[in-house]
Amino acid sequence: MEFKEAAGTRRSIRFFRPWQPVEREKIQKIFEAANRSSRSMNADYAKAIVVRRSELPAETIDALRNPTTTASLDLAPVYIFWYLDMDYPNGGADRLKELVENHVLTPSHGWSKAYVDEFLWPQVLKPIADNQMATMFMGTIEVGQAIANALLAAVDEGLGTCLHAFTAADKVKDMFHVPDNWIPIWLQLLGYPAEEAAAGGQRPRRPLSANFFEGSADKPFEEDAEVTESLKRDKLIQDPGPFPHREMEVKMISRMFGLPE
Amino acid sequence: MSQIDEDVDGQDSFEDLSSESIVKFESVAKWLNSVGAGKDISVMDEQIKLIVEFCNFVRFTPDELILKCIRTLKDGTRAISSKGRNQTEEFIKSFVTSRGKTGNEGIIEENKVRGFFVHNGIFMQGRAAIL
Repeated sequence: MEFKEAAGTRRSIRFFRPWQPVEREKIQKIFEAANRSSRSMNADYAKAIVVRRSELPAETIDALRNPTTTASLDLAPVYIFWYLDMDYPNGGADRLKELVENHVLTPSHGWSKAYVDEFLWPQVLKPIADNQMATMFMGTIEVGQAIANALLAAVDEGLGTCLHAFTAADKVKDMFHVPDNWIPIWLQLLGYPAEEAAAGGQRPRRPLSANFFEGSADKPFEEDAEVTESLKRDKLIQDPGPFPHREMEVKMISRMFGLPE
Repeated sequence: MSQIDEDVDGQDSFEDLSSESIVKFESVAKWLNSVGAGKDISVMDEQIKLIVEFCNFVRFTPDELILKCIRTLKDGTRAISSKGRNQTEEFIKSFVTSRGKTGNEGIIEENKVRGFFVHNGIFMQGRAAIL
């Protein structure tokens, strides 16, 4: 699948085929995509634990349930627990100097090992590392970037996926041997969709002009109609929902799983 | 009288509802309209009967049951009451258990009752019947 199609096809899937396991190789591809995400300091912000529902004790699944995530836990065969490692600043200076050595961070842009050691680390990064709120703020953004890659990789592999509130982290902390410095971020559910991949059509989005601007915040970005058409051909922009059959699709799937209609 | 009267503070003054009387309640009308059965409620006969039996079991009217799941904040806005929703979940489970429904059959029946609350804006999710 090309990038534009993957980005255009991604949407939250809430009905999974509980009977169809996800191949381990697909999990690896998802993790690799996450591991390639953009990140400052070349730090390892994101940590994730993949668990198969069939391997979890029933009481653990029950502990993870909350009013917004109950049916999905029964349907998704794979859970990925995403965390932020609050110790990510550790080793930051060494990683940055490695990038200087590798000619990634270059003198052309002001970088040197001396700058990292004598100024950047003590004056900028160390204070951030010592400030829990700043560390959390920066870290959640960077974990989000890793998760975004993981979501797109899942779509690229023909899987359905959706992020859910990770509200019972304390219930699985010991079971998964989660270090104290890992902060729960999201629970990603994964599996083959029981609904069609289009899931009723692309979700409504406001036009670019509502959110993007050119030159100043009072000058909405105007779309070029030809570009918009090319994006439709490339499937970044897809048929909007709801498809005419969507209501019946949801009704039938709900009935199959005994869920409220 | 239901088995859970004493436990759930059911009303002594409660009078059993019927399929005819229950549709007069605002929450029931809201539910039926939301599922698209506003004009022809006969398609919902089975579900209406189930909610009648549920109300008679817990001895609360449908409107009272919805109100139990809502709390009013200091600024006057309404929010879902976790306590009320948890109690409702207990009501649902007790009701279905009392009818001898277990396993997938029980899950399906629980979710049919939840549908009434869901269409009244009370966010709740039950298990899926994949046992």
